[in-house]
Amino acid sequence: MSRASGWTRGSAADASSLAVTVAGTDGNVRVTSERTNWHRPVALLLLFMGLVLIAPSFAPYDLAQQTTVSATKNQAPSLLHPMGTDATDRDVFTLVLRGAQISLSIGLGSVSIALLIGAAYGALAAMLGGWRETLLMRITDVSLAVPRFLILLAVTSISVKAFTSLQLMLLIGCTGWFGMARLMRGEVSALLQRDWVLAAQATGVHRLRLAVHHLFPHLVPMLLVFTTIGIGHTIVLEAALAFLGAGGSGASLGFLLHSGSSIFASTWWLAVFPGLAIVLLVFACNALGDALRDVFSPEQVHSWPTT
Amino acid sequence: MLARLLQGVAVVLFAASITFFLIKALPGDQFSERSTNPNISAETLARFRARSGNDEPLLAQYWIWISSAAQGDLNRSDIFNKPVARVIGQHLPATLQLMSLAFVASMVGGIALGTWQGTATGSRAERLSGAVSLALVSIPEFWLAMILLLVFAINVHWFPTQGMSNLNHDGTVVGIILNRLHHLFLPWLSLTLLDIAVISRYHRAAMRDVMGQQFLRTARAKGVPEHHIKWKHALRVAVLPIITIAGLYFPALFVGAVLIEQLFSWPGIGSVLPQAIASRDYFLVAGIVVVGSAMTATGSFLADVTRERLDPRLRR
Amino acid sequence: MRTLYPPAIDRAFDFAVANSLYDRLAEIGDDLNTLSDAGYTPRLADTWVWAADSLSIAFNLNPRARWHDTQPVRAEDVRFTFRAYTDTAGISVNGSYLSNIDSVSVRDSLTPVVWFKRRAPQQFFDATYHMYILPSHRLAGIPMAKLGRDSLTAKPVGSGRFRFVSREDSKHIDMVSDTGNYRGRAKLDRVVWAVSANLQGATLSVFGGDADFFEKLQPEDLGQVAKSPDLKLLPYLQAGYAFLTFNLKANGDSTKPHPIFGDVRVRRALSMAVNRPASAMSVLDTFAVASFGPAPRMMFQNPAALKELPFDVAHAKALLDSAGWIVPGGKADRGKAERSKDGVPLAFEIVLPNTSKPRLHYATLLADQFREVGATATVRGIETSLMGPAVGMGRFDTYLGALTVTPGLKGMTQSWGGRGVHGLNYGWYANSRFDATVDSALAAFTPSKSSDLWVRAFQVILDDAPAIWLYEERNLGVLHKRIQVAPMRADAWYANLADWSVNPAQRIARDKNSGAVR
Repeated sequence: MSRASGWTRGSAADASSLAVTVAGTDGNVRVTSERTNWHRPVALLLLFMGLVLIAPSFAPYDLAQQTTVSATKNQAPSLLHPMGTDATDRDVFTLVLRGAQISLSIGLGSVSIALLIGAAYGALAAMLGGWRETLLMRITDVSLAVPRFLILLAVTSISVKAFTSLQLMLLIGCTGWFGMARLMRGEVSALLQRDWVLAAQATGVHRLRLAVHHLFPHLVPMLLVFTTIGIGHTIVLEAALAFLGAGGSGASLGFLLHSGSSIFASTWWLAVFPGLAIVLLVFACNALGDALRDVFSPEQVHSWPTT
Repeated sequence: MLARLLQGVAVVLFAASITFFLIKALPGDQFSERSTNPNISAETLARFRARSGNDEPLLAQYWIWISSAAQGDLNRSDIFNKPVARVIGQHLPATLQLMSLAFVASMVGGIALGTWQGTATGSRAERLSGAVSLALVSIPEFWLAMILLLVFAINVHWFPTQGMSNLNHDGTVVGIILNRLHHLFLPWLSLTLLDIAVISRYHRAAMRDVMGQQFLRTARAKGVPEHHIKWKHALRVAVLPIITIAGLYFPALFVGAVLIEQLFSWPGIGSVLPQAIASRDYFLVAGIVVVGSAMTATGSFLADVTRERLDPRLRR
Repeated sequence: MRTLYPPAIDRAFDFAVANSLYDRLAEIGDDLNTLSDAGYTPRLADTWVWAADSLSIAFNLNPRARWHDTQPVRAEDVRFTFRAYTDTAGISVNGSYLSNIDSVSVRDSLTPVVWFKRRAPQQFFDATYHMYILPSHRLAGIPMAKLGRDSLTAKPVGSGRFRFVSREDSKHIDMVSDTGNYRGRAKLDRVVWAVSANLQGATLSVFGGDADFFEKLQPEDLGQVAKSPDLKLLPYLQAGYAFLTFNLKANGDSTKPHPIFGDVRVRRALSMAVNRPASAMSVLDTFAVASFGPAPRMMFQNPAALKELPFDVAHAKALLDSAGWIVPGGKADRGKAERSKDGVPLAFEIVLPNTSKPRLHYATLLADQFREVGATATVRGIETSLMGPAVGMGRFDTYLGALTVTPGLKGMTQSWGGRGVHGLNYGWYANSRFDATVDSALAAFTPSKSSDLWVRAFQVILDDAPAIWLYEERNLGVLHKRIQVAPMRADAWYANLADWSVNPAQRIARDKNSGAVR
């Protein structure tokens, strides 16, 4: 599920891989128009994300400069402060920009970690084959059943020291790779059955070279989609954790939501705008994932998370 | 079948055990909160600590807990001062009420919407609804809940803001039920709107794939009306992955519960969990995880079984 | 809601409910006087007689006092209650305040006698304030270790003007007026305590018209009250204060003094760098006043007699200079450069529970003002359960805390006395002169002597500056206009709940329903 849940099954990729067995591989006719129009949306979305990452440098107000005058605290949105101010006179728009940068970087970082670990693990399992493969997959299965959100909640809500973004990235990334591992293993297994791969192996191509040169290009689309959707998931996950008061990264969008949620009845802008930023970010990620999927879909419909 | 069952049990125990060790490993214990209370003397706290068995070796504590848990005794909750099983028993119904209603509505709505979207490819309305779905899917449910609260309960008092019920009814059975529904509406809506979008997106893709299949062309050639093709033949096949997804819904249930119940003070399991973690109520947290994973395992199990029964290709 | 068994209650909410269901022997006056028995009003005890040597008090129980199950209240109940509170085999947490009471005996069925170990000014307070009298006929048969378990005390039977009806965890607690009560029934027919998950939730219930009163409104929500035609604001005093305590020992190592705060000049300088009235104003508007010391104004007779550290940034900088904390040579940029001494920068952390917004806000203001004098403070909010492992173990630099103070200031030895260093005295402040003066103050029998001694004790601690005394918060209650309240006591806003009433002219639909007794 691509909302704040995702309790056990890492990403929605698993469900979708089942969605596909329905389609089968016989007599599938697909409309393949609009293939060349993918440049625009992808480019736009990537640009958007890049902007988000550098935006705080151009923020209108300097967060470090606070005043002890209470004149500008808790102000509703106005021309001077388009998103209002908070209880310590800080401009919410600036806070949101910085929060978006942090949330997005946590998302990127965690997904990269999950991707690396999961892809390596899954590919390895598929290439090893036999009982080793089964064992490795059993491990991921059981890990998937463990309540990830609960564990994260417990760990992040109770720390004597604050969590840095890096630590959060590691935590979320290291607990989120199981889905990728399963996906990867499924894909690589299927690829390994293909004639041309068997042929390559027969001609004595070294395993590692096989993996990198031959298999990898076929896996890239899947990895890309997993990444984009995963970033969206992670942003929401981190927001959910921060919203509950856990996850000490004190400046992310989730944290802003958390502090805003305790007084949103009166100072609604403190909660609404950070949330809106989350929605935009996740929307961008999902849209990007969709666009990429549509691009590669004709041949690769069976690998795709269809969220 | 038996193997699956055993696997499920093993998973539940594994999850609960991990949680037990994890929460014991974290700093503080169930008396930490009270240590800042000026009325409770240090001697009293020391006395309670000594009695709690927290100083026993960790493995011993674990063994005591797991052996009684296996027999059904989940020990006592510290913050509620009663057996864990009772606490869960008292709070679970509220969560289940909310979640099952949301589940049913989002399944029905999502499948209907997805079918329409998957078969009306290309039309303006379909593309618009696709974009709306994408947007909805990107919204965190707790934010949507806040917006709904702001607009419909705080700005205008159309709906109550907290709890499952209150005194604003006339005392009759109908009045009480209406009062309950009134309280249920906003939390339910926050969940359903989003889940309809999620499910419809899965289903739309599945429908699209199915619609191009061979067997449907045969049916069309035989003269079966298009309407039937869509809503009977294709749907029957496309709905299968949704069943698997339904099995995944149970874990999502608890997570959503935690967030939504916080906002609406909905007295379910989700509102208990953060409290329990914060207060280091070890047995309660472990108990909730046991119940939660058991439900998850049951959910996937049921979904897998149903799927196998319905899908001829998966039958052995 | 954890328990309604008074000896085991440690939360404010549980006290609020229990206070309406149970009675004390006598109730403290609104002035919260703890010296002798002046100002106390009868409750279960009609009158009382001091023994000639003042080592015991005989209470005469009101013969009309009845438990909610119609059994009469007897002296045996008082003796049992004392045992329940102090028996270490039980789950009582509130027994430590009864340390001066030796025992309770029964002279006849209506006359319990409380015997003390020593003469002390707070004898009467000790005998009455901390014990809610329990029905021995219902509880005496239960083994001490099991007493207080929810299954056995799920339906509390008390003698208060409200009677327990029902309770659903996380939902609500229901109580109705005890119509046959010996002191007269409560004016409100029925009170339902609705449980909310958090502060905002409770506030929302009132704004939404689902609830009638909430006792802790946040300052940001003031505007909402003004906008609503049905709600009014109810500020009331609170017996507490907030402070920033310095860790006098090294962070994590209590064998060494803290490199920064071990020096009284630094502490005094930092105290002088903070404009306390303006900061309190900034955080809580008119609902807070600057604190003067480790007690709220209402519990201290003569705050004006104290010499507080003034707000004087220039003097603060000079003090820091003389203490050796200097700005690295040559830097003349607005005087905000970080100071250091022997290579140690004047940088530290302010730790506080992340549950209190005003305190978080104040902490950022503190950091700003410290920066003005060249000290870098970083603010860190932590979870309440971590207070023990972090602050309780001395692993902090400074801690922004708040304390509610029991009447009589008996908690002073625990909070700031040398004996409390392993308890609430997190900063390891130990000054024997302060301890001795506090002990004498607590042993003073007359108000004037007591006041003198407290002034002297406070002057010692003010001069030592182990903490910066930040503010005293006025609590903000929000109330539906139709409810008329009785005086709100600072230590217990719910003390006079039985005297609250609904203005008959302003009844709403819900009030008609409340008349029904379930």
